[in-house]
Amino acid sequence: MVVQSLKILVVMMSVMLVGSLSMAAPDAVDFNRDIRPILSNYCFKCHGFDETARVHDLRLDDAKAALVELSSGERAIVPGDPEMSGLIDRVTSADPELRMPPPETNQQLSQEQVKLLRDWIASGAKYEKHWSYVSPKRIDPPSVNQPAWPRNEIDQFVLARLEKAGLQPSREASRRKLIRRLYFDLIGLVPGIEEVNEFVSDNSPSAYQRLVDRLLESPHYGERMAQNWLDAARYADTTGYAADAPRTQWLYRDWVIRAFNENKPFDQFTIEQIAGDMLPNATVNDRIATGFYRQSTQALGNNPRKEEFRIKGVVDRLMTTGRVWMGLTLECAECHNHKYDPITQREYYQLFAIFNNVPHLGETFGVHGPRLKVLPTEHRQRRVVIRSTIDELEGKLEQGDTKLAERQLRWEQSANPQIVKPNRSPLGIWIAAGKIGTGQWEGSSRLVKQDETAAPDWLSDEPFKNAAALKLAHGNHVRVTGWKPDEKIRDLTVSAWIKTDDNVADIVSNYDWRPGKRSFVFGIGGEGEPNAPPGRLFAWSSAKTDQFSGVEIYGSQRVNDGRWHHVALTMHSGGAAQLFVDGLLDSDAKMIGSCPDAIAISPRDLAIGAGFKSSADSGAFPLEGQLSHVQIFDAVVDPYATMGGFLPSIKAALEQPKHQRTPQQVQAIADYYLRIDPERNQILKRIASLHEQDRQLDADAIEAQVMEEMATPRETYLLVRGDFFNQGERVHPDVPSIFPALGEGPKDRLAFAKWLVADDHPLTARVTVNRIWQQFFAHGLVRTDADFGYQGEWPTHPRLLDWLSTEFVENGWNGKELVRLIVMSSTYRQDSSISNLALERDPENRLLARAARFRLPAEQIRDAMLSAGNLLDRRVGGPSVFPVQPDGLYGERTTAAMGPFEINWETSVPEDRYRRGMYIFWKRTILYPSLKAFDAPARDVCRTRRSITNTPMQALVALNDPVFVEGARALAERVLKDSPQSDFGSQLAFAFRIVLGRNPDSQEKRRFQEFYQRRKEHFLENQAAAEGLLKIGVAAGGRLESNANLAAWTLVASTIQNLDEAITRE
Amino acid sequence: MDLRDKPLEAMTRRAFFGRGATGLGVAALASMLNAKESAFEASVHFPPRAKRVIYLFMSGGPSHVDTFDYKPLLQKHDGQPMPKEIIKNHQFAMIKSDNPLVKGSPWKFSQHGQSGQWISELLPHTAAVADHLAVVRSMYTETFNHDPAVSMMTSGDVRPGRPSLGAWLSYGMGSEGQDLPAFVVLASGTVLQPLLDFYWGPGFLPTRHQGVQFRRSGEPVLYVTNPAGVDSATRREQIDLLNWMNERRFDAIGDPEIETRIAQYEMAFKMQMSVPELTDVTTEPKYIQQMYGTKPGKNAFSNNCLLARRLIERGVRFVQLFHTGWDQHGNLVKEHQRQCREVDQPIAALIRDLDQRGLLDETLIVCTGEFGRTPMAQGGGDKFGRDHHPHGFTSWLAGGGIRGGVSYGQTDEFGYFAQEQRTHVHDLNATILHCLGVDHEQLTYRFQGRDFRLTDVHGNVIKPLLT
Repeated sequence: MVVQSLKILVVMMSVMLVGSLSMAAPDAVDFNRDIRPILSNYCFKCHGFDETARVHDLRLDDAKAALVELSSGERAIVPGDPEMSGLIDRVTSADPELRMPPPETNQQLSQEQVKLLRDWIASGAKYEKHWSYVSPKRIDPPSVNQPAWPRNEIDQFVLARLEKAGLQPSREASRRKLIRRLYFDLIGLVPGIEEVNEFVSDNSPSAYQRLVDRLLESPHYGERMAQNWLDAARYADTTGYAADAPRTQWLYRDWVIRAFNENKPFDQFTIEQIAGDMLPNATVNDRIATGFYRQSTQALGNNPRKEEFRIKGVVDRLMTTGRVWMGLTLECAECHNHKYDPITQREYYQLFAIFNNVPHLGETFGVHGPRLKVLPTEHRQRRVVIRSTIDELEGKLEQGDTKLAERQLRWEQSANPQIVKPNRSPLGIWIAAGKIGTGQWEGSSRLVKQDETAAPDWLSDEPFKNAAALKLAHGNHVRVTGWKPDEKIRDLTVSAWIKTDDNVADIVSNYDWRPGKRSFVFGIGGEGEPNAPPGRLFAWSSAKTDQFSGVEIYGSQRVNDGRWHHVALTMHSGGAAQLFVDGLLDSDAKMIGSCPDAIAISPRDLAIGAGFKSSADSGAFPLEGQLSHVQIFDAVVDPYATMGGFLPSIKAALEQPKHQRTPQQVQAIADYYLRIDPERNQILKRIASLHEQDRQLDADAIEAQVMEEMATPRETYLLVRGDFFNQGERVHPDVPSIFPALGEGPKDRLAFAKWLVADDHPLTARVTVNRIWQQFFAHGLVRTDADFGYQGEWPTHPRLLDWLSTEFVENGWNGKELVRLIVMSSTYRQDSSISNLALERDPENRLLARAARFRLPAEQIRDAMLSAGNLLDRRVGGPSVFPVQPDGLYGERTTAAMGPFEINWETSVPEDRYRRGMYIFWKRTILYPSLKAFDAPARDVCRTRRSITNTPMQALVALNDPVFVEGARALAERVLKDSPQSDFGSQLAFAFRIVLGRNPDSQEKRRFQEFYQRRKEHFLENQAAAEGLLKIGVAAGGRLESNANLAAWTLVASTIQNLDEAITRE
Repeated sequence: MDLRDKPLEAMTRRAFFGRGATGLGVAALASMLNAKESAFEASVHFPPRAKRVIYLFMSGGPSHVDTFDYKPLLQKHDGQPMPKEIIKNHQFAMIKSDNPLVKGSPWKFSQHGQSGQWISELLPHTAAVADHLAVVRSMYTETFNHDPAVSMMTSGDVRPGRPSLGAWLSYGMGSEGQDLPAFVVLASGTVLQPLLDFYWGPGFLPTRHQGVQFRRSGEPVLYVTNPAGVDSATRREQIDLLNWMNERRFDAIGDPEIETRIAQYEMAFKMQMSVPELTDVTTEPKYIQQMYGTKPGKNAFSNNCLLARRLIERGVRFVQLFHTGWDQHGNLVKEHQRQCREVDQPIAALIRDLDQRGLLDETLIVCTGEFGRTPMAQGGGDKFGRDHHPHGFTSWLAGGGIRGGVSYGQTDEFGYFAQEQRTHVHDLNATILHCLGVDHEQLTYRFQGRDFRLTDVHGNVIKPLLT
């Protein structure tokens, strides 16, 4: 039964389609409109541009080649003579051996198509370059028979076409409809009662224009326009794939909103997003704009095919660029030459080379592209103040202090020259005063003798007269068991005196490369890692034990010269690490990464004078030589102070009578005094605290995902069949040859961006204008809005498209002007009602004899639901929010075992719950249910047009989702509180005006009143039910009404909000 | 192909179904939401053997060499390095060693049924229905990472963005019933491997064709329950009022989409009425529950198998069960035992139950993982595991259109490469469509200027599996 009915349906459809097509094809045969689609659809796959797939050397996409006599002696096309043309013969043949397309394709040309081919050949078989590859030419709008109707050029084109088809445009829509339409289209919101009244009662001819002007200047205009752009830009808050980890992207989203609000010219808008980082003097915002290309999904994890996923990211960049700017299905040429459009696989990889130079950083779960730390505005202002204060204080120190010498003298004369001491006590001290351990862990410290015969020696070597150093040899070292600091170690200082010749030796280590065993290590020569300079200090620390995430620092000064050196390491939580030799900063040390906020504690013991290598036994990387006074602080301590007690040279100098001191001794005393001078120290303390504040600001910095160009571009190879393992020939950046050349200079992203928006680029303006048109008319003038190639549809109004494109470019790529032009037209202002006649004549409204009528996008449905009850929060921009969603929705699908990527949906604070739908946290793999239900895309890939479908799931959301129920209750409360009159009829009218922008008629009033009465009686008898309904949601305010009344009204409100009329842009 | 593109279709349907005395022909309209959309006429090309599918997805990758693919040689070489010529140039997902060691199955294999299918002692119940199964032991796929491999299996492409098999069927065939979606997804098992929306996504098909996941906890379908305080009589009245208003709107505006809106709310109401009853498997007789081993109130594969039967009885076209937790990189002995225990009895029960009801002949059952597991051990000792293995693994089919007892294809003697009658995922998908009477080369959708298929440009129907 189903099958049969569908057959009838198909027949009926084709009858009507033929009817509508003949209506739409009034002129002589046009190659681009009539012939190329047939050839492309049925022939080019085997007889087209792709020589690797070409059969029997027949090529039909090229004028010359198509006329050649083939080896069989046939000629496919004989201009002027259809009967001699093999093409006609083949497509009409009854012999399955001869017929084209071959029977196994299940394709056959219709009689109408054959006739078109015949007529075309008879008229000379003229080929034309594909229309969209030729730059649009400025043409004048046609004249029309009803000059009163057009308001601007758009209308002239549209009306001329309608007149030709014998159709009339619809009447203008009512003011109520128009204001709703404009609000939905331009700012995505429902107009308020006052705004509707004002517009409807404003009889001035300029009322409409003033409304349009006002909406175009609204801060919500940028939001509405951004919504579509973000689908195309595949903007989301997570990485996609299995991990689907959070990734900060909202700065880019806000950049887009701002760009639309500021009406950034589209060419600039393009250049900044594609190559903002490469602009001269690129600003932070220019770089944030390049987040466009950093929205690709990114697989994370312990994945050996990292390169594969990097390449998928580049492929995604190309596909997106093709769809968004070029209207080209570039992706079809990833694995082979394009089957339809003239783009070779080689050319694809030339484009690929342009986008292939972005660094791909990190390992395993940390894989990521370039990032930019961005401070919130108020932080940036605060930073300026802090830094200028620091400069000021440092200037003070540099200027010197006239009273310094005086103070030093006083100090020298005092009986006990003081010694710099650490301002806090260490967690532990090892190897001091002849003891192995004297700190918190002293009881658990022991000497590990690798070689029992090699007894350790306590030496009283200079400068350790009283606190003997330990001689270490043969792998002997100290092991501290139970190393478990009570609190997390945020800041860290490690210091020691060493005397050694070793190239590689660990001084202190709690670090092992094995997963789960990482923490920190300080020593010489980086455990022999290739990038670590031997004989120099190094340190690593990690925030996690299972994977490295933290800082590496490598010193520049040799410390293995067999002399005593005091060495120290400091780590500032979340900031810099520093190395010190003999109390002085090694300013040439190389730091990679930044210090963890808190250093992970490894279950390994603490080793002194050795480290760990894949074993719980310490003893790897032993230090041979002498070691003393090893200290660990969970704070940043002046390294000079950690030398304390061991400054015999200073002491000796001071004991020397003043006049007998050597110049070195005088200098040493002066240097030393500088460190303990109280006034100077006070300033230093302030500077340190300001630096700390400055660092704290960074803690709030947001990491934007941005583009960066590698200094040396990657070598790009054609990938055979798109397989990243299988490299073919080397290729260099360029654009496909069907287009204008890329121009002089480097062929890079910036050049490409400028090339795209060159005024004569055949595609960019057309594709853009078409996509914006689509937003207002549901369809583009080219219905395949992301395919302007051979397989794309012929424009319904080719001349209008070209006129708009040239107009757009001439206006300086002015987006708001384009939108204004569209919404000011009579075409846009038509009514959207559909008469039976219209349905019959032009069911798909290709000729625009009426306005479009379509269900609102997901975000607008939610916004409208919330705004009716005054719940909607209209703030623009900011981090994404987490409104109420069903408990456990994430938990039942994913798990904490995915490592660091678990996102707990913690419902936002109340003031964030009612933000507009576009700000909801966009998790690609589990999209917010009400967005998903109403066709919002997951944004894994570029979408230039959303599908609009109707499912029962949508009805369930709109009726039962607690957010929507709460919205209905809020509307009910508003009605009962604010309705000018308190009778049901007036209240209903008030509710209708809020939601639908109109009054109910008498029949509607009666039906709603009946419904309301029965529900109210029901709730009066079931108080608990009323109570239950009213408890839903969190925005419950003080209620004036009885529960039964409010509950009944909540259902009335919900019903109004669920009406087709409420969720449809008419 | 959404409603902006299809007013014509809607209008034609309206003309066809007509309008009843009491307004629109609501039941007929409900079918608008569910009916197939494509104009493909495959169903007239070959008679469908199955009307619907229950697809058992063992997510994480069960070990073929421990379940269906008997390789005595692995025992013989147990503990020895895998021959270099087999594994040269191969990367593994997790195994780091250059010399991974062969690991024989810890479980005994024997032959079962009249057909003599080799099945291990891990699956005693499945073994008892061996004569119903057509086992393909020569499957291979293209990637060894979970999500691309699952995506390959469910949508014929390793990347997200293509329509899933269920979505294709919804698009091509619609639903048999009127109060349930055409494509339902049920999930059970540990949540160690996440299940991603796009596994049952619509790709570029209209979003309505996406699978509807019945949830593991809480409401079976999101928001299917009325808000607190709203009973079904109240809801019925509310829908009646909505419909009345929408019909008036339709009369005034003439947009066929309004009729779809009415159907949409009607179907939602029907789902609200039917889903709670449907998903309550405790209403089944005790012996049925025992047969499946249901665990009332828990999220169990056994419950989902029983629920799958109830769904297809009510006209759902495609039920896809995901049972996760098969990813045994370690502790294979214990955890594969647990996994098999969870699925073995319910699967056999499902086959028997459908058979008893005469539904097995018209219901295709497919059981597969996204890949198999390496014949080499990952890690050593008692807690050894096996790594991901795309080069050879086992899937089986049963029911409508399938010849029971068939053993098809072989891997090499190490169970490493699919060797004889190599069967790609596309071949499996082509065969599934074939059983439903659908020519996989003709079920197409035009997107971005190209006619896309589930099987891309590949796929051969595996004829020897068919009745």
